[in-house]
Amino acid sequence: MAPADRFRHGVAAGPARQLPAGAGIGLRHCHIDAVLLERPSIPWLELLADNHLADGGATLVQVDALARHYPLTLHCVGMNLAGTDPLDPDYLRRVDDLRRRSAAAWVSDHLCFTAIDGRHYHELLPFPYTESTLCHVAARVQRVQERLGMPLAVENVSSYLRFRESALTEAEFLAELSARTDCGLLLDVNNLYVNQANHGDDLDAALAALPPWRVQELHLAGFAQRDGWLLDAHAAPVAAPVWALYERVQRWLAAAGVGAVPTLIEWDNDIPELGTLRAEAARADAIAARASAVTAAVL
Amino acid sequence: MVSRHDVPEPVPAASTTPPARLRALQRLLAAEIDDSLPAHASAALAMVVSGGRLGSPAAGAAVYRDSSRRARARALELVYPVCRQVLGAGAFGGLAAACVAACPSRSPDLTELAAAFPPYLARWRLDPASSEPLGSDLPYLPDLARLELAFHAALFAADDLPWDADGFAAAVERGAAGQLRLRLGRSVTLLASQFPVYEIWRRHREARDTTQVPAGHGDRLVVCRQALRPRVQRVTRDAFALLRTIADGQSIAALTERGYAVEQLGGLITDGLIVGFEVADR
Repeated sequence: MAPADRFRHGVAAGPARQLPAGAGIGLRHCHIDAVLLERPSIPWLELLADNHLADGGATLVQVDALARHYPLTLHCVGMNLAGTDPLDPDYLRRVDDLRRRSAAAWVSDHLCFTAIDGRHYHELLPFPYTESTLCHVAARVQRVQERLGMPLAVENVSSYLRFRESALTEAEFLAELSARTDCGLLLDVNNLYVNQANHGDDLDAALAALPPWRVQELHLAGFAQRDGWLLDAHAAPVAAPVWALYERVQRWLAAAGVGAVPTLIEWDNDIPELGTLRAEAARADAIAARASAVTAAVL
Repeated sequence: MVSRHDVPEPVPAASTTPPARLRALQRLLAAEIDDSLPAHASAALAMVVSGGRLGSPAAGAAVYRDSSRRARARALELVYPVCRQVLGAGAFGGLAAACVAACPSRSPDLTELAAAFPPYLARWRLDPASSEPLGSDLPYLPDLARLELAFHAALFAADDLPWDADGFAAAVERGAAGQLRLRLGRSVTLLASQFPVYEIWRRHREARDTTQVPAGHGDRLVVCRQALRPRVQRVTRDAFALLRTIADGQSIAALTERGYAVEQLGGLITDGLIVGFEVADR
């Protein structure tokens, strides 16, 4: 199995399902009933795991029904991967229960801390990227992967503060983290763009640092503008420059010989009709196909 | 009482063991997000972070502060739609913001934060500095919030195993029924109020006339989940007392000794309020 391929599905203890390559949708509560009733043709769905960590009841019945009809992935916001509080065993148990129940292809969370001293901020908070923090985060990612019995996908985040003592860029940190832990990468293209706008990040350098064969999933979302800087708001269509960057990322993946990577449309606030999300997904598919064709012609 | 971070300890030098320095930096940023940093500590944070095009580190921290508070306040909006209707969006938003500022979230599960709202409302009503018109006009608000929280909790509560009719029959046959302790369903919440909160709650949910608080002598309510849906039932004083005694872990023999009509138990089992039993310690 080629390195690129082994990350297309979870190496799970449970019966994780493989994902098709087309663009999926981040499914939120407001669309679940419609999706279950109409079963629209969507290649796969991502559940925000934290919204489904119920102990019983209709929420889990919905997860069961969704898993019967769609390949699923789970996206988390509460593992606190870069935190310094102990990992929360109850949270990980509940995520693992949901993973097994949903036959999720994989589970992802963010490169950030979310809690300190037992206080949870429900926000993706930054930390310094150094060799020492790398050792710390890598150890925690390893423990999470052991608990889940499968590689985790770790996502780059939008940031509004940077620690001056960072010796690595976020991309370099993620590359080294994946090398040390065998975790996959969830590359959020909107976050890459937001950080370029807010901090002047060098996108060429970021793509040069990231190992394309580790990229397991791509995220696309809309940003908001505030006084000359950008906010990762997930409340608008994907912006034109993010689409352009997405095409560049797809060409970068294709040039590296990486097969089609599943892409997800995320929209969490002011959520539109399902048709709007599906149109965004179709656009992502078209761009991915074009990038693949162009790269194939060049190579 | 508002709980705040203590003033963070000095940040160890960069060469210190990583978790210690990382932890100190995280405490510093968290305290800035909580808006509880003294000026000299804010200055210390500004020395170690940059805000990029946002300008000052304080501007970057404000983004996180605003986003974190909005996420927590939104969780209260989701759990307490009727309280929001009663108060109006503006007043509810103000109370929710005050609640999340006063009550730190102690779990990745935002529902646990939502549980802080009813006691916060109760304290707020008793606080002489709180908004007097709201406090005096809506004495039922904390109980209404408790009802909404129970309704929300019932939706997500763990499933119960089916009633073990054979096991119960066997216990009856061997004359051991009196030693059994009955168990309420995991979605069941018993809620007593001196206000007619059920009618207030129902009128708002059904968008009926809510201009007058209905008259009544208080409610005894059972919230539970039936057929995957949360349900709220008004029950009699006797039925409520029986359920509360069962919840306290009394045996069937003790229920009989206290004069409860145990013939009600069959209906409570059928309704899914009583879901199991175990042998009581003698």
